[in-house]
Amino acid sequence: MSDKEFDGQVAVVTGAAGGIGFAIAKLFAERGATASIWDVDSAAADAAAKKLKDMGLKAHSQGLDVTDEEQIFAARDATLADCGQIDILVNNAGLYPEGTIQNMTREAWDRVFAVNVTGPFFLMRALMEHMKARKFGRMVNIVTVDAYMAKQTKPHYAASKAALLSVMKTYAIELAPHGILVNGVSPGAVATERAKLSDWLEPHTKKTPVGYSAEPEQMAEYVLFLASKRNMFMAGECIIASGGFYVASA
Amino acid sequence: MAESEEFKGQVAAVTGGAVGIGFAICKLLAQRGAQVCILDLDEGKAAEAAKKLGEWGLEGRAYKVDVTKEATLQAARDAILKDFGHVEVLVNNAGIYPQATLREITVEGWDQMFDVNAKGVLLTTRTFMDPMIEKKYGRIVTIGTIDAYVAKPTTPHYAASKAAVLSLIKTFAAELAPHQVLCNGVSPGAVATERAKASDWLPKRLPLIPLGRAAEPEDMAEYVVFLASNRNRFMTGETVIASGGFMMI
Repeated sequence: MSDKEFDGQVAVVTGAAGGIGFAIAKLFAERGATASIWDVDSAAADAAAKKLKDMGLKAHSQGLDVTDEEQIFAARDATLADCGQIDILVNNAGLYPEGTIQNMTREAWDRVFAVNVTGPFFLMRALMEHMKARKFGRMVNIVTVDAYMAKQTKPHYAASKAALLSVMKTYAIELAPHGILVNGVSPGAVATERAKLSDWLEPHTKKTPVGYSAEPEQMAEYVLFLASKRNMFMAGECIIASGGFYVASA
Repeated sequence: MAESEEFKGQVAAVTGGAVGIGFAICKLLAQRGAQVCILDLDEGKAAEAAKKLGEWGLEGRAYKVDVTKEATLQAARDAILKDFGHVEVLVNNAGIYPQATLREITVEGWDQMFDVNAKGVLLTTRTFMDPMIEKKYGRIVTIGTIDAYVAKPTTPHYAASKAAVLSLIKTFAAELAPHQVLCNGVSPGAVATERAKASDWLPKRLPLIPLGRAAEPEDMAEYVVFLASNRNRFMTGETVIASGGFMMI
């Protein structure tokens, strides 16, 4: 590790205009990478990239809807044209809506799976050939502790993330022989701006043994470690960073 | 933060630190700025390892311990606190790995395995947690193995002792989280230590690893050092599996 561990590398982070995604993009840029900010809100992606550039960091922005494979191809091609290469993909974009078994609609179910599972599946497929050709790549998927537990208030969200765990492992086996390591990070309570406005953060934090929720920057550290060349032997694994919440409740 | 300063001002104790993965961990911690305490049963090899670090301009000091004897651990801890005044990182790396099938295992062999691999982790952690609790900061990393999760006809006692270690890691984590002492584990797959290279299991394993190679001890040290660092501020009670994809298949 040096100050600029990712010097010369290009890291694509989806859903990176705000929250954990932006914290990940910023940490990549601070450690030397060009952070390519992909977001469904292209104006917000541009603004986020500008914020990094104003700090003297390298950033790029791209609007896309991850549920549309044509838009994924277009984003990939535009990023390769602008940045020359893609070394890292972080599948961070995801939906986190409320819902119960009783009130679940088919549309709500399908929408969550489209963004949280189908999106990452086609994003990884769209970028893998480029990484294979370069015999190097790191892909990190943002999962959640909810993937391992019952989740009465968000059954579709929890199930979609459990499906993402499976998808992640399949890509890990497929791509390991090519020097591409695919892994995941499952966060517990993270104090994003949106979470701070919610009613779940406080009770969740109370149940977290370390006694605090994570800052988005703290979660970014796990993603960057798995995306770095420090990680040379881990594939198909998802690390759980929950402040002990998962251990205490499992 | 420069690479050589990540652990600046910190003291790290590594059991079984004289050779193999343990020594690789000591070296990496020292390269990143820690003052390293090499705790080993073999005093001569520990001193040799410390000398080697010194020749590279790194800081290492040797302490003799038997992880099955709590008094020797307490003596080493007290000596470390006298020498440095504090200790922030503990790596439970000491362990034994003898082969024996269900039929061959003796009661003595079984007991020795659990004494070193499981009880040793309990005693070492218990000994070193107090100075960390006092400082409200600590990182404890314990070495597991992928054998803890799968059937292991050639080393059932080893696998069982490491499964016990995985449980201990979670208990430590729950107990120490309120004190900002984070406890995690690393479960390595095939690592090409000198001893493994001389074995007959390593060549048989290689074709089964999706990544197509065994890890170097230095590869494994990276996971330990990350979990031992202040970059890790929210992970506790977890064990990271680094097996080159072997665990998936």
